[in-house]
Amino acid sequence: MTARRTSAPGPLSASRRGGTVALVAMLACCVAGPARAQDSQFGIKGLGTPGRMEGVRVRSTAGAFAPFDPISALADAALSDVGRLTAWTLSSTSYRHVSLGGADATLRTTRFPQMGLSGPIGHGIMLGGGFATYLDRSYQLATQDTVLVRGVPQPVTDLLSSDGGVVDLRVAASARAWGRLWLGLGLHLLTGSTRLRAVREFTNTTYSTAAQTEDVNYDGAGISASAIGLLGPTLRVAAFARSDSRLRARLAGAEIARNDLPVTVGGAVGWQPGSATRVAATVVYQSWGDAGQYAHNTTNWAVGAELGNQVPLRLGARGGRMPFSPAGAAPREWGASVGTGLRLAGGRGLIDMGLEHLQRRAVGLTERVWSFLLGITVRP
Amino acid sequence: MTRRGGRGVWLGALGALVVLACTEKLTAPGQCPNFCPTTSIGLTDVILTSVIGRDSSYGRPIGYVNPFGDTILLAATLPTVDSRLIMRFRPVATRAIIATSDTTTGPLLAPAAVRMRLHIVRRDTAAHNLRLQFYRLPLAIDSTTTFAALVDSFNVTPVRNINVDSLLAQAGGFDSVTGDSVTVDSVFTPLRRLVFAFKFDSLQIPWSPADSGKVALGIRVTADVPTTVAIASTESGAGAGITWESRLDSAGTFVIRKQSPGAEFDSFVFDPPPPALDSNLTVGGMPSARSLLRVDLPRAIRDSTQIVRATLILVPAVAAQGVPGDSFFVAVNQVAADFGAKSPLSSSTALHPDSATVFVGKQDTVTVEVTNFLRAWQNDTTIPRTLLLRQVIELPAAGSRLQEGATFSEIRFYSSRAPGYSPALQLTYIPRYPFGTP
Repeated sequence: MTARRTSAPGPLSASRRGGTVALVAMLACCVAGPARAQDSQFGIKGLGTPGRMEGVRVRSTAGAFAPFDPISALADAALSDVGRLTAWTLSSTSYRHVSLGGADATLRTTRFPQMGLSGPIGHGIMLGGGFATYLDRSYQLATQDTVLVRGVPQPVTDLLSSDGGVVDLRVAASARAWGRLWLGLGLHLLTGSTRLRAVREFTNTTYSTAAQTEDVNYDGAGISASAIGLLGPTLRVAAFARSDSRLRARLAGAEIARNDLPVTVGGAVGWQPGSATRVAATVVYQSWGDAGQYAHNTTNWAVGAELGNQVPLRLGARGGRMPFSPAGAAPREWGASVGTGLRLAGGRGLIDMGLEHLQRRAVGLTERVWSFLLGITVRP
Repeated sequence: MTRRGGRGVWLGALGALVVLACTEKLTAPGQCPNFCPTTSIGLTDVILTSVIGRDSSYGRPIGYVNPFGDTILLAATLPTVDSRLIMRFRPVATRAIIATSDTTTGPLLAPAAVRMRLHIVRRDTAAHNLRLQFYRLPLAIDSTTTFAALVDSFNVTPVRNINVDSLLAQAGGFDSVTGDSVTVDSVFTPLRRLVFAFKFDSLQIPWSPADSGKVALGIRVTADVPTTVAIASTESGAGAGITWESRLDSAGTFVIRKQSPGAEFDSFVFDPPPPALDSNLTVGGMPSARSLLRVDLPRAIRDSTQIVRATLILVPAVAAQGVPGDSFFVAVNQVAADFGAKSPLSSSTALHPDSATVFVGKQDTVTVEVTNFLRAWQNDTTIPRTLLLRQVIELPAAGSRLQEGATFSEIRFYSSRAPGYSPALQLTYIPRYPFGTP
């Protein structure tokens, strides 16, 4: 994808525009502080909420373009589309409304789930890497109860919180194999930690508040492979697979849990019927069912379109299931998204924006999520 | 709008959006067990009956507070104890300069009046017709003087017999006949202390130049019912004092020269003598006794739990002794270092002592909260796991209003040598939460 200048260069030169982009990026990093989020309560009894390893452009199309997007980490073969040194990051601000057993709550979080860098290293090989959220394990729950202590009922408030998660550190390479076939290979190191805190407060001040804080560390590994082929001048297909080993949890150096991680397989098709029109569809299967008592295998789909080049309109819809549920079948999830992008400095800076709506429902819990997405890509 | 201006607006709007969006609200309503972690926060309550050992009492015959060093002087006429105050005042000059223009001195003559100031810091307001009876005592009294040694001195007619209630009933607290006065110091409301100024004549307190004006007095208290009174001692800073209003022949004109010596020694003697310590844990009395408890907290609790409440349970061996209807506090202190009887009290504000009220004549189990001590032991293993029991009562005084050694009341608890009644700890704790498992 190349940038086309449609007007003469003005006083706001390319370099100054690049500086403005950098300023916005710096501002975003400074004011966000420590990223904490609670993507879904469905993940509390499981390993967490799987991260979406997709750039803003792709999430604006509900994930349909993920296997063809070099910024997204779903298919390493797409790195070949980068063409030159590229760095990117994104921020996501979510407003989540939770309805659970007659109790409603509105939650608000901001985080930076992804950052990466890629570029050519010669011989037609593109190398890329970065980090993306693999499992989000941030939550904070408040429950109120009455416990019988010394023969007297005592009202208590329990606060259970987890702050952190598991990130996927990826190093991937992509190259053109034969004619219209590109192959990609990636190595993944899963690492991260959560700061867990349990607090019990008594209404009766004769009882002191009890608080316990621990840091749990996680590790794991994975490998991924993918292929993208051109079936014609306007039609592309992608296939990808990934196998992750296991997630090991350590507390003070001692292993306290070990859970299998899923195998991921999927495919996608992309079609460009015109110079300013692109559509794609993707299906992803993940064998989360081996990851624990409350885990389920999932299949997710997405379809989306991108209309226009300079200030494109992006649309998409997605559906499927989430991997963890406290009871019954896996929670259903569907979503729709819309977005656009802005080119700066002759394509050296890209700002993508998206708005995503998700709805999840199972076991009496309904979550409605609105996410504002902001992505920044710099091509120096 | 130009393309350049439009992009500027875009960037500004994006920046504002980022700033406004960067706030978090995370707390969600938990509905257990479905949407909570598998393990909930536990709670355990247990009474540990054998964790307190190596407990002892200290303080007899020399106590932590003794009559001659107490900040108050205890006078009592009770069926259980008869206590009398004794005090000796400092010497004064027996001669004075006759005129300011001359260094010639002349002898001070018999005083026109002798005034005595006295602070009563506690009394039984239910005991009516409270009387203070003053006696002259030999000048040789000191800290070794016993009750028996002064029996003869008190078995005479008192030099003055003052009805406190009558004086308080006078308008303005002033008796124009005797010259006595009393003011009620309400600074320490609701505890009020009485400030007296008594007037004696030269027959009641004679002037003795040979003794440099030294005088020793004794005070007994009586009332319609057995009663007790606490009077501020020299150690409190508000001790008794006298004012000699001596006459001086100044070139044929008699003038008054005032001298106000304080008490150089004050104490009280009582009968019967304090009972000796036994195998029980004695707290209070006079001389005041303390008891030391050493706690051997199980390591599993100390290292792996969060104590949310800890209560020390003490079973009295006998009913609390003292004035019927009276009460006192048994305070539990953390010691700064365990040196046995000489263990200093911790002054850390985080280790503030707690106390329980004990009513004289009752034999109810005494419970005192010691949560902050045990939590401190969990956080800092260098803190000695030793508790000290002492008796305190509330007194009208600046600063700390809890005073040790301000009453004859005492209580004796069963020690760890009394199976079934030994001191115990009731602990409510939260076991370690098993983090990490989903």
